[in-house]
Amino acid sequence: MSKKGQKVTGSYYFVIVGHNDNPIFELEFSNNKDPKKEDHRHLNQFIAHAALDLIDEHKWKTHSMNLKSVDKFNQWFVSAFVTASLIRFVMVHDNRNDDGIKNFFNEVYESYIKHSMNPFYQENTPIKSLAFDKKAQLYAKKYLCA
Amino acid sequence: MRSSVSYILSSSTTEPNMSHPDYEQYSHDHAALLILIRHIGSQLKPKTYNKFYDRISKLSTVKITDSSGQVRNIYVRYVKEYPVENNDWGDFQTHRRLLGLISIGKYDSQLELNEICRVHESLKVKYTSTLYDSRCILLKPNEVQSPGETSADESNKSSPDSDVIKDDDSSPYDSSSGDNLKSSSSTDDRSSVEKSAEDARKEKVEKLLEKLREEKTPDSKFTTPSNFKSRALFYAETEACDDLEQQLTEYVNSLFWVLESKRLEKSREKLERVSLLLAPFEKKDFVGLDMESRNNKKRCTGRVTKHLGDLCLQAGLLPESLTYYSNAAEILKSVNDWLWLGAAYEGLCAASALILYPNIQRTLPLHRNASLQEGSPKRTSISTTTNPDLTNPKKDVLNILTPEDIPKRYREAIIHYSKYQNAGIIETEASFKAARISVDQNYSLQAASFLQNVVFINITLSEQEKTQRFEMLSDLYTQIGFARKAAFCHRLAASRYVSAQNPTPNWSQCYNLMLQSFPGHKLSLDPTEMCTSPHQMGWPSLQIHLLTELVVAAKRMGHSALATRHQTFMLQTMWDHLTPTDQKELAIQLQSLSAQCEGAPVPLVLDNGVVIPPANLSNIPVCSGFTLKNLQPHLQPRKIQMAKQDIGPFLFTPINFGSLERKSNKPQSKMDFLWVENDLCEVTLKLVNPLPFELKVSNMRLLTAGVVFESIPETVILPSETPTSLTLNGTPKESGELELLGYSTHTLGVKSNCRLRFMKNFLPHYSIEVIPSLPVMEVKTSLPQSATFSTFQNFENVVTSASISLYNGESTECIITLTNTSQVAIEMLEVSIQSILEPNLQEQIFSWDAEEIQKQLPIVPNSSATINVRLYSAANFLASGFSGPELSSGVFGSSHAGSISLSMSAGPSSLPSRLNSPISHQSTMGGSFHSRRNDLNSSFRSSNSGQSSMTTQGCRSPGVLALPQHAASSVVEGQLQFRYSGGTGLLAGYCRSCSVFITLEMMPSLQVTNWDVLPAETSSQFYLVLDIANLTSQEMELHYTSSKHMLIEGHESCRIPVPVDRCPLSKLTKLYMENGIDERLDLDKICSDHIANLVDLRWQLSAIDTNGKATLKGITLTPNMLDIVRMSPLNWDVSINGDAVKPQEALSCEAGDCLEVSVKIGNSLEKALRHLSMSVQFYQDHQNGVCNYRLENRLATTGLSRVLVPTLEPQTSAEHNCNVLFFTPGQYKMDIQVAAPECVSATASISGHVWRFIPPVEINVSL
Amino acid sequence: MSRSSSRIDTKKVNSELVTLTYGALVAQMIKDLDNADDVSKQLERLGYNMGIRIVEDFLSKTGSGRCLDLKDTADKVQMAFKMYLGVQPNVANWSAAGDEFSFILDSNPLTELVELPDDLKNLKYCNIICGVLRGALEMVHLDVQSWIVQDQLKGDSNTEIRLKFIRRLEDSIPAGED
Repeated sequence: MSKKGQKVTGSYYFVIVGHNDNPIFELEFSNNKDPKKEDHRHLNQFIAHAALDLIDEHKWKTHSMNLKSVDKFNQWFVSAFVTASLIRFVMVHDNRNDDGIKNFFNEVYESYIKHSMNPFYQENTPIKSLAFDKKAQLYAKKYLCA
Repeated sequence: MRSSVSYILSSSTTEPNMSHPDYEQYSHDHAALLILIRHIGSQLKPKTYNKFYDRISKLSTVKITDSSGQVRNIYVRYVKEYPVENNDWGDFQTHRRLLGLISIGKYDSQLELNEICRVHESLKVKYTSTLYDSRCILLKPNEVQSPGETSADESNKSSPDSDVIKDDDSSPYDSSSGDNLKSSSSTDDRSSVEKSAEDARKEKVEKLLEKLREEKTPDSKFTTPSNFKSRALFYAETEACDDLEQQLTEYVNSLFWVLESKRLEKSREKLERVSLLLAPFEKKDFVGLDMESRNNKKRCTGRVTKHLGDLCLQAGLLPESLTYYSNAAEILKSVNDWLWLGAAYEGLCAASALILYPNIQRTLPLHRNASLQEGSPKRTSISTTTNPDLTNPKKDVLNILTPEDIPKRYREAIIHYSKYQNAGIIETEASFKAARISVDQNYSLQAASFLQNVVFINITLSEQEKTQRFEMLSDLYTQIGFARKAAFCHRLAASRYVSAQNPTPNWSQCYNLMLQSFPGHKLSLDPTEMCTSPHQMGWPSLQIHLLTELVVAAKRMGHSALATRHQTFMLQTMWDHLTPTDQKELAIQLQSLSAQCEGAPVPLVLDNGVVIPPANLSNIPVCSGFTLKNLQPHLQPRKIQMAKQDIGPFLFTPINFGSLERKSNKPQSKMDFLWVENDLCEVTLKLVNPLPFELKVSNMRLLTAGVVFESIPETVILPSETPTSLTLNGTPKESGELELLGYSTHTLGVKSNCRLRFMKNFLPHYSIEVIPSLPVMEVKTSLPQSATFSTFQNFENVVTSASISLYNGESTECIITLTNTSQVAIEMLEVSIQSILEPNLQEQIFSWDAEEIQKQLPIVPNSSATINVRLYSAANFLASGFSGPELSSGVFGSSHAGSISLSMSAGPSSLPSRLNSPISHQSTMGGSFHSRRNDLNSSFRSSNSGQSSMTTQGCRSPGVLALPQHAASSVVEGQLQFRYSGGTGLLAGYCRSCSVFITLEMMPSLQVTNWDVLPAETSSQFYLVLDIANLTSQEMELHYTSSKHMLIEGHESCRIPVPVDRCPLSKLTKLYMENGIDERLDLDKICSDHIANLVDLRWQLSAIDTNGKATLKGITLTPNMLDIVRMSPLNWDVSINGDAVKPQEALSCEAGDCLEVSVKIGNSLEKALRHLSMSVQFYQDHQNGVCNYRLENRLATTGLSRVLVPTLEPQTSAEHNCNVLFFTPGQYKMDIQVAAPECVSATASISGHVWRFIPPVEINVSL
Repeated sequence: MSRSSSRIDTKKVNSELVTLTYGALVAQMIKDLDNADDVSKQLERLGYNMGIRIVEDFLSKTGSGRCLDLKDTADKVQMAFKMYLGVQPNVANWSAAGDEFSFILDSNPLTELVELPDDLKNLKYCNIICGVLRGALEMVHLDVQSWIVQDQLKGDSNTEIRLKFIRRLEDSIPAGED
């Protein structure tokens, strides 16, 4: 039900941010391929980074891990999800899709937990696992576009 | 936050909407009187102006007691600029009206003074619509004194009027003048406002005249022009102008009273008949509207009420203002006058804030910390001298908002504003004000949301204003501790400065803002901080992005040094996060940047005082190893006291003490070896060039601390990705502790100091002890170097070697030259030899003159000394495995000694050939010799000695005289150790040690294969018979006595008799005296030494003219030999028929003759001999080994054949006589012997010994 | 039998715990001997030591008698898998000689959540199982060889553990640790 017609368009930038504001996993997802990708990514990253302040404020205000949309810059919204270990999921998106993002976050959280139980993964370091990446891609497709 | 219905209520405007945003505003400014402070005239220095501005702005509140005796707290706000357009909003929010003007100017001449006055006046005109009063601070030339103040002071009260009048003419409120006067007049005497207008006017006029008079009588030579109608305050630039504050207070007073009067006037107006107040852009919205409509009437009253609120607020009547505002809000809401409703709310907030937080001040940067609770207002109780009702606000004021409500109301206000496009500025400012309140209340999120809103307000601003907006945002974000947001805004602002739209791009501004955005991105400009953090801090890709932008900015700024610095920084700190291609490109960029300005490891200081710490390229090239090298073994300093140098003496550095096990696992920073002052010391680095292209690293030096160290720069070219090791050299220039901190490089055009402290897996530094300088010595020998030397204990410090081969017995000299190649004199020199030989042999082989060496000291620099080492090829010339006793016994020797010796002496030269090759030469003589040998043996056999057969074999077999098997040459190795020192090093107790390795090959020369002793003709001598083998291939000439010599063919041998004096008793007496334990051996030793000393065999190989001498050291002797070798303790005196018997002489007689034999023995020892039994016995020797002792029927003896001598005192003699008579002719022999009995002997040495008179006397009896 | 079975059921332990514990163990070993092959060896030993102990427990709980042939053994081991790992492997790929076969696990609790990083691709993560098999069977006088043929961690569809019968051990004294 979260995937309604008008949600098809829009680009998403998803990043998992570690304790030192260090990104440990990034995923870009867009329904319409735009040419100026590189620059765009940087902008996304900057927005996501700037939003961390608000996320850190908000996370104490609510009990739920999902903080919904915490920040906004020009046409971009920033939604966030903070795990129990205070790992921050940040989504920069240019169209409202709260449910989709919520589901996406939850799913990714699941796989994140699994992945962090991998004895060979050290917490707070970049996630290189292909499987994880695949899953994330999958959920993105599933929840972030019709 | 923004209203969903945007802009509906304001036509998209073409007219200029409200001009310039004032991001600085605080809600408190609603209550403030706005005063412009302007700098006029060219003379005044900005600095002075600012000084004045600051001083003035200190006076931010003034307490004024009003007519009702109530104290009002009047806030003042000073600005340096005020766009006149903003005045137009004065009706909307009165605090936007510019009420006061203070201009500051300096003049030297009347002209300038006039000019200043003119400008001041024109300013007044500019703001005339709102201006109440003005002041002009005139800084006159210093020398001039100014008693003008007094007049100013006492004309103080009247001062406003002059301007008021001016105002009155031009001000929109013509009607107000009356009240104006009242109010002003009420200042002088605190009389009620009821004073009649007339009186007031009169007073006013007087005052005016009076004042004009004063001004017309100027104290200084300069006078303000007549058209100057303002209050001038004259000061000298230098003086303290003490009454400035007083003047200001007075000025504020005047403003207040005007304001107050206007307020009163307004408050009296009939609310029904007020004209509609308008915001500038509203003007045309209301044209042609029916003002009489109930709605609009309410609108009017609402707006006026709100307006009154403003005035009250400014006039310091907070409660009143609150009431007005809330009423206004009521009314305006009812008529949906959103804009003004917003304003009313804002006023409400402002007033409440003023009560709740009276002490909010400008620019107090706030950093949130955990202890600070959300929403706990910070500056509540800063004690101030303001009157109590302000410090502890009455919470029970009517209509006051609770702290929580303030932001709520602000939000509403903003939402309402947001409905009007032209109210954008108002909205923006409101947002900022709201944010500031929230900041102060410490509602970060609240504040954030207000700030957030600012970004979305769409107003047409100049680029600069946009930028300022972002700067202000970031400033506030910083205040609520939102570093990352702040950084974001900083970066946006920075990009604004150089955006394409920007007509005047300002790169340095951009650069500075960029820098400010660094902390938010966890970027520190100090590479060491970046690198030392254990795990990744911040967002690499963003950091790289920022750095790249920063480099660009720096470059465009034209500050290439900075560009280089930041590029370096990026390469250094972001290396791991860069793709190989990026790494390569950045490196190349760096090269081109540094081409303009080379990077150096020094801090850069910017104009604004920011310091950019140095960035060092410590990972280009990567250093994977840094090891200090010990000195060459022969140069290593050693403690002089140390007994054994071969184990380095430095096991005992304090660090190793007690922590040996720790030492094992973790590396020590303190080296366990020493360096020497002025010696070249080495450190080896392992370098890897991580770049894909060849890298030239020049000027590599060691970075040190502690003692002075002179490092020699190195240049190396590193191929890509291949580990290269490089040695850096340097010389410590003094002694003490030296610390190695790292190394410096110069690559990609950047000079870097790579300190181990900041590099991974290195100790922070390595330290090593440097000892005072020591001399260095070069060693040469006169002998050729030996090809190889064996592994002989430690020859690490061997500097050179010498080898020679000598024939045994030969000796030579090896000249060793020591040259002092250092600048330090060699004052101490020890020479010692090390070898595996046992000491005394070693001494024989290697010997030198120690004194001679010491004489040559000291060896001054560049001079040299020589040492002559004598090498002697000492060897055992006696065939080993040969034990003397077998060859002969005394009997044998005596029996035919004569003949042998004769024959020998007869033809010594011929003898050997026959001897050593009996088979080859079967000459008659040989035969005879053998026969002789045989009868020798037979006779020998007769004396029943069991070994005979063996002996014969021994003699016969050619093997005996053939060359010994072990003729191989042997090699002796020795190390000549030199320990030397000098100068300060010597004082410090250190020396150096080097050694020469000497290989000595000892070649066999001659060997004594056999020896024997024979009695000589004289009893004082005996013959030492030697079988000498020439082991060389040359013909050997052998001198065996002073006179006698002979030639021996190579590899041949011969027998030589050497006459030797018998070992004198003097040497032996000792033996006889005390009964030594192993006297047997002693006896041996004494005798063999005796022989060794007397016999010297000199040989010469004329072919290769070498010569040497062989010793018989260690020759062994059998007991029988000993008897011959040593003098007998008894001397014999035998006579027959009275005439003494000579040895070797046979005497003859006829059968029947009676021979009288008399034997006398003397004791030549120093002690008595006891119980000697002397016997005389006759026998016949059948010459076939059989002796016949049974001669009863052949002869008869008279007298005892055996007598006992109880004691024979020293030097005395005993005699025995007997007669013999032979019956039958024949050959007889007489054997005389003295025996000492075993048991009762005095000394062991001669117990059971038998002395014979040798040779036995031979008697031929004929018929 | 019922008694034992009930005991088995009560003896349940959270599989995550097991997985994590084992994972942590292996990870630590990697840290310590930083060489995948050594770790694999060590794991096999660990397993062996577990095996020689566990077999007794298994037999007592299941009360199963002696095996007649290798097939019989295979079934027993299969049961053991179920009992201790909670998974039922398929016994398959018998060799012609019948002395060699495979256990095929389509899910392996040990490798749950585990992903091998590229630098450890040669690590035999669940080599411990091979060890257990060897150890356990040795205690019942079967000298066997066991190794991993397929591994889900290496991207194979399932995990296959090969088991080869070497000989019957006559003397009953176990070799103990090697």
